[in-house]
Amino acid sequence: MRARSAAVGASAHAKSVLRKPATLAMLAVLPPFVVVLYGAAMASFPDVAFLSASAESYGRMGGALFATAFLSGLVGLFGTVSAERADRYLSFAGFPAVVLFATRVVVSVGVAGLAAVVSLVALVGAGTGVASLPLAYAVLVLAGVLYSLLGVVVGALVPRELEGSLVLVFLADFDSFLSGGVLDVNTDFVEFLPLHYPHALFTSAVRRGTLAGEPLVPAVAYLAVFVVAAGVAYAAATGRGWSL
Amino acid sequence: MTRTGTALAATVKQFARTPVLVALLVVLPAYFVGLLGVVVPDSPVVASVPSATVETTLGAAVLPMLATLAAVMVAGIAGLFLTVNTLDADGWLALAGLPSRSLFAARAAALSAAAAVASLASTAVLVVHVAPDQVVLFVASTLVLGVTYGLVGAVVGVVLDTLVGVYVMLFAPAVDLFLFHSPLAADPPSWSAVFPGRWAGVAAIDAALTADPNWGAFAVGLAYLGGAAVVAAVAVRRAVTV
Amino acid sequence: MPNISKQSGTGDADVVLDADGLAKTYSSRLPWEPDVPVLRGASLELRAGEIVGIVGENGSGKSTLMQCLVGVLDPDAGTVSRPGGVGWCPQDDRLYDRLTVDETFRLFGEAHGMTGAEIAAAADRLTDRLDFQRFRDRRVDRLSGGNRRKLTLSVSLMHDPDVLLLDEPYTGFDWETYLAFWDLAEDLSEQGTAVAVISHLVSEQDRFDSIYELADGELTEADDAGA
Repeated sequence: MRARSAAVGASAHAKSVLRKPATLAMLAVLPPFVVVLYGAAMASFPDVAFLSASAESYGRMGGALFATAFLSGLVGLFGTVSAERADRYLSFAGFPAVVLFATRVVVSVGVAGLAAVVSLVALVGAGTGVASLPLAYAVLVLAGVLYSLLGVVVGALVPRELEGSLVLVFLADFDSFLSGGVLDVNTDFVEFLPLHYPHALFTSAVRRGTLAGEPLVPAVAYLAVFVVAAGVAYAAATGRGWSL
Repeated sequence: MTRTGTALAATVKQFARTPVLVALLVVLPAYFVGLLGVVVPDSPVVASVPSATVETTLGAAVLPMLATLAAVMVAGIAGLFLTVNTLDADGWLALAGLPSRSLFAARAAALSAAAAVASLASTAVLVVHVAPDQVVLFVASTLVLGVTYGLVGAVVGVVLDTLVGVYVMLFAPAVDLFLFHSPLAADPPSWSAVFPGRWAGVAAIDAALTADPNWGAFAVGLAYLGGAAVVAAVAVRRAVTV
Repeated sequence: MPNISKQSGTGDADVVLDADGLAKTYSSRLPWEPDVPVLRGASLELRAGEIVGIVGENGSGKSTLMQCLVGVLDPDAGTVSRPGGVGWCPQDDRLYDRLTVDETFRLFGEAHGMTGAEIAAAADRLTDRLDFQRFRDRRVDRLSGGNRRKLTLSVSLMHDPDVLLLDEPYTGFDWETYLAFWDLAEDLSEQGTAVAVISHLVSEQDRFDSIYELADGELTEADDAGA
């Protein structure tokens, strides 16, 4: 019964995301743009800590990661804000909150998966060789899901599109600036940024085709923390209407 | 002017009566610049602006740019939502007879006020870490770029879906200022000059790092602002009326 | 789109709105989603002082028709002539939710080109007539649904238009307000204003000079309206 409810809920949430032509177009068009722009921009930085010949591909990798993550984050935010009242009503009508949340996570994984495909294709198409496509794809999906859950948390706490977007954008840009290595910041604080470990994992998957020796455990632990945080925030938003 | 004044008063009330939004205009740039100011180390770097090459610290080189970026991001997102959130009501108001130029003027004025608040908040926190050489020009350049991106946000908001618009307004200023026109970037591609940051953004960074005002870049930045205003006025008018 | 404030016009002074052969189809950008034809040649003529009802099933296109009559939506085919000033009460409340009732009157009154005194008089008159004067200092987002509807209705007619197009105007009204609305509509009719009401509730047919039914995209006059 719960499995069927989850399937029905996931299908409904997926349709509400995908039945928007602009969202679908965004999924297809914007990540390649970001990948190319990041690559072109990074090529003009002389002092990053790697061979200058790979600066452009390093930029494209960062672009692929951020494009996937932030797209998923925005879908998580907007989906939560727009459906907050409907989800609360569904919960009131008897749909278990945990199943509702599970459907949101499933749709988040789906959106991240789609965005990751587009970003990876753009990365390869722009001329960056990827040593292991499956591993690179998996890390992109991980980054997307992380940010999608972050978007759910922000959307539950700040259930208005304008304010929620501002909060998410500032979190995301802060994360991208520091975890991308453009600024040579040497502080433990950076390890707490959501994209810090995915960035290292993605670089390894693309360049070396392996995740061995990379911080996979902290990245997965981060994911678990975000799932719990998003679950708590979501349950509060749909159950008691607790928000700013 | 009565209609524009009334529309302006209504716009200010409509958006200023959201305490969370008003707080975010100040808090987000402040947190962004403040936290980065603490985290970014003072390692020596060479910063490039059109008028000079400056040997300075990493913090002194990038924090002013990040302060400008923070104000610009706020203004860009605010411009998008200020326009999109009231399209239906604006349409009814236009139908009732309010000239679209009055409504646009009111919205542009309100957006400028929001950008000014964000610019001042950013700069106030910036000076705690590093003081721009020419503070007034720095704030003015940041404001010009902020309003420009705010108007771009308005266009993006009516032309694209809101979610797509936020995505664009997240990446565009970041790619423009943080990457292409960062003071650490030595040789950006020539086509990147199409971005607004090449002008008002560079004027801001120049004002922060040198004592020579880059009036040329500021003037072109103003021209970009004018162009963005024209495009935004046309786009919003088409979106509001049939 | 033409401004719908008062226009000087030639022709039959009795006809205040003339719509002929309106057609409208909603198309989706996604190729697998079907087109939805809503209007297929709807025609309507409104004369000064008439009270007309427009009924139809849910989804029959009543709001689409009204938006075409008002000029908010361009029809795919057909013409609409509006020699007089038009007031429109949309089905959804298109208000600025942070403004108070008085501030809303002020803003829309300015848009209509009314003076400060005219705006104040209209606000006094309409809030009293529809019994929501004690909410004049309250923000729209803190009004009940019924009071928001009263405000929307008031804003639509505050400038004394020649034609008043009302889309489900009394949603959320209590019984006294419903009766007050009809008193107001009849007074407007006596002053020469044409009133067209879209509603799925036209149980009191004798309040209407004519009732039209929108079905299959066309308007046909129903037989059982009052004189």
